Amino acid sequence: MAKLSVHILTPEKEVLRTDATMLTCYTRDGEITILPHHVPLLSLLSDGIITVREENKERYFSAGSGYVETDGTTVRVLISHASGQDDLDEKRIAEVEKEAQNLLQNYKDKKDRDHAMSMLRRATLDLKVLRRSKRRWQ
Amino acid sequence: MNLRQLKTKIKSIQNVGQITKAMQLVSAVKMKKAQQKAIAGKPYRDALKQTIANLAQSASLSANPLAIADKKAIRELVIIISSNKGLCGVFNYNLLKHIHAVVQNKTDNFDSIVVGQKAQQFLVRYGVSIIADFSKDLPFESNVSALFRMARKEFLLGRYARVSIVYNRFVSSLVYEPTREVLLPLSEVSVPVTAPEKDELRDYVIEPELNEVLESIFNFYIEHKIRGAIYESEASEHSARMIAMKNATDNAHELVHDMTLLRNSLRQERITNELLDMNTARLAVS
Repeated sequence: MAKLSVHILTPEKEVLRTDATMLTCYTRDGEITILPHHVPLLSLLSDGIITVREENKERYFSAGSGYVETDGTTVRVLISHASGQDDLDEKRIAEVEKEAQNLLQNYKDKKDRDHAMSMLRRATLDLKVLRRSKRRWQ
Repeated sequence: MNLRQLKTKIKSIQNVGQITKAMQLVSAVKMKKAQQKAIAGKPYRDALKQTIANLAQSASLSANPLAIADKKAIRELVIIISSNKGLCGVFNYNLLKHIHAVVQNKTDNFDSIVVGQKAQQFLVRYGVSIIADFSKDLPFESNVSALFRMARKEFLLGRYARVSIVYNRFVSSLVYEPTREVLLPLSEVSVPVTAPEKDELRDYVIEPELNEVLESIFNFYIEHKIRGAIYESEASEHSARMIAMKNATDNAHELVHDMTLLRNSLRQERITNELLDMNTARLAVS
């Protein structure tokens, strides 16, 4: 069966390089799934969950914005940040979430609010990733 | 030179040696950190570059204002990344020499944005006008988005035919080389010629909208290019300083060694002279 060589990169590090059968991500227009022999595609990603399916398991990443590029055999995902299910810690996320909500309530400045909103969005995503991976593997 | 002078001299060289040794150790730590940063981001930047290269092959690139230069403009904007501090060997010297080779005394054709005081001092004397100086804000990487916005704005206004960046590219701890890379227009970006894996020209399906996607990828690219240049320059700077300080320490040790030999022979001479004096005095008395 044809494989996609998946390559997920952030400015800090190479997050994942593997062969997969499928990759799902969130573009600006909505969720797309890339399978082998996909037409060459270049698209922008918004914050969302990236799902990579390998032979017998799935991996989830909560991802920042960036773009995805594919030519049918390789997929390159370049994003601002990504954390896999193994890097996440539920307690820590809850803390971040609380802090973000706190910021939102107390600060009126637009810049602070934007920052807090993105923190909150990220925390929500991280939680989703965690829940999803737990549900699968229990 | 008499014995006492020599002794103080040895002492002071030893002190200098200690200082350079300390600086070497500090730089070694900083170098490790900077190198890690420079290396960790490399795959990301390479992938970005590859994407731009792929895009350049498909024809869609030329529609964007960032891709083509204003035809009337002839001047060039150079972003120069040097260091604030000296004592790092030929790090800045090589960079400035490289700038000289680029500019070739045609200072009127160039404007510059500097990061790092060393370049600023040089350019003021050299005669290239400086439109912005980002040396004050540390660390340098905090300037990236401001720098990027400025370069982009100036280019889009049509003032410059080209925006390039000059920095010390990091090769390894021992090797760095001054490099000049074109940032804008993107059609001039020199891309490593990788033979296309397939002969068919790959035309991308671009979603959601061509210009929006190109715009944001170009911005990504330029910003990360600048960031990468700053990281690499920093890594090179610390490696250069570490090596310079290592050489200084070695030289200090060598000097101390030679001078100690000299001091010993002087002391020996004095003892011999004193003995001779005593002997002749004794002979004279008896």
